[in-house]
Amino acid sequence: MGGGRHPAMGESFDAVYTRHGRSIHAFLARLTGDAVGAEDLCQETFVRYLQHEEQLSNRNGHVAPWLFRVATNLGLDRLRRLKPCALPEDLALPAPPVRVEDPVVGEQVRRAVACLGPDLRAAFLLRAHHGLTFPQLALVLALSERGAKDRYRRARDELARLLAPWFEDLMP
Amino acid sequence: MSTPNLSCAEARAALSDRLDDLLEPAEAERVDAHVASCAACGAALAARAHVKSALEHAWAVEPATGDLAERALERFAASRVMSPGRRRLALAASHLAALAAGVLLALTLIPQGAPGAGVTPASSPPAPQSAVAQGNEAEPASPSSSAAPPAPPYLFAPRRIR
Repeated sequence: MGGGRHPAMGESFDAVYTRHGRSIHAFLARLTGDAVGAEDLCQETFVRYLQHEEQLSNRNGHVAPWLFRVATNLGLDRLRRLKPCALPEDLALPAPPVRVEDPVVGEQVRRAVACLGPDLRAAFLLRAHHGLTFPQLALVLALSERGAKDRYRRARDELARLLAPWFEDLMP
Repeated sequence: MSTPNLSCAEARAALSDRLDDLLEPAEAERVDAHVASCAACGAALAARAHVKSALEHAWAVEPATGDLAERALERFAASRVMSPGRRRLALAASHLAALAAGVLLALTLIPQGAPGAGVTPASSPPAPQSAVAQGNEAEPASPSSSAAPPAPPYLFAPRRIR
């Protein structure tokens, strides 16, 4: 196969992958907590893109939400087959106060996000880590914009509750 | 009529929503106005923004180890080759192509001056130039491409046998 080139009516597949591939993989790794399994889901996301390439090639602004929607559904399907997370008892940050720049914080954020239910987790990651707007989030999660805001807010508040003992600035 | 200014407690309660762009525009303006005029709430907003940003950037993910684009293309190509629906479609297309080739072969082998040569077979594609052709019935059939009917949308380029 010639270097991954795939002729398309609009943007080439290479260009689409270059623009969105890393972000989709990172999202799936965060959502599922499994970087290796996320590679498989990421591939599947782009296989589905190729299957719908003609319909999407004329809708440039819709490609990212479409990819995130497929990735979210694949990730949530994968999570539903796994047993629920045993956290939050595993949350074990050092005694407060903790500096947010401390390298250990990244791991603890990962564990705290893993405590969220899959739907809340997806909403939080899409918005906070991947910068989707609320209209895009609504599209990806098949919700109204108000519904998307409510879900994100619930996720954020739950996360703040989990992390508040260490980061008091998170709480209202 | 102007709306009353927010108290510090009201503003603090809305800081996270303000940072997350969850407020309606009018409410966001009121929070902004309070924060602009209250140093303590301004500092609280800055602190919260710092923590929020740090937490959002604290969780780095290593890039994928392989060329996922290449693998996706391979899987896509394999799914097109292997899928039963695709296979049935390809089989039907090859049958149609063979049928079309047979019809074209038969047409080119029939002498143009022979009786019945002007009769269009029922299975041939419609010829848009039929009116012109009828006016030139006496002329010998020309092998030149200009006299040939437009190429049908077949899957291959038909060749004339001379």
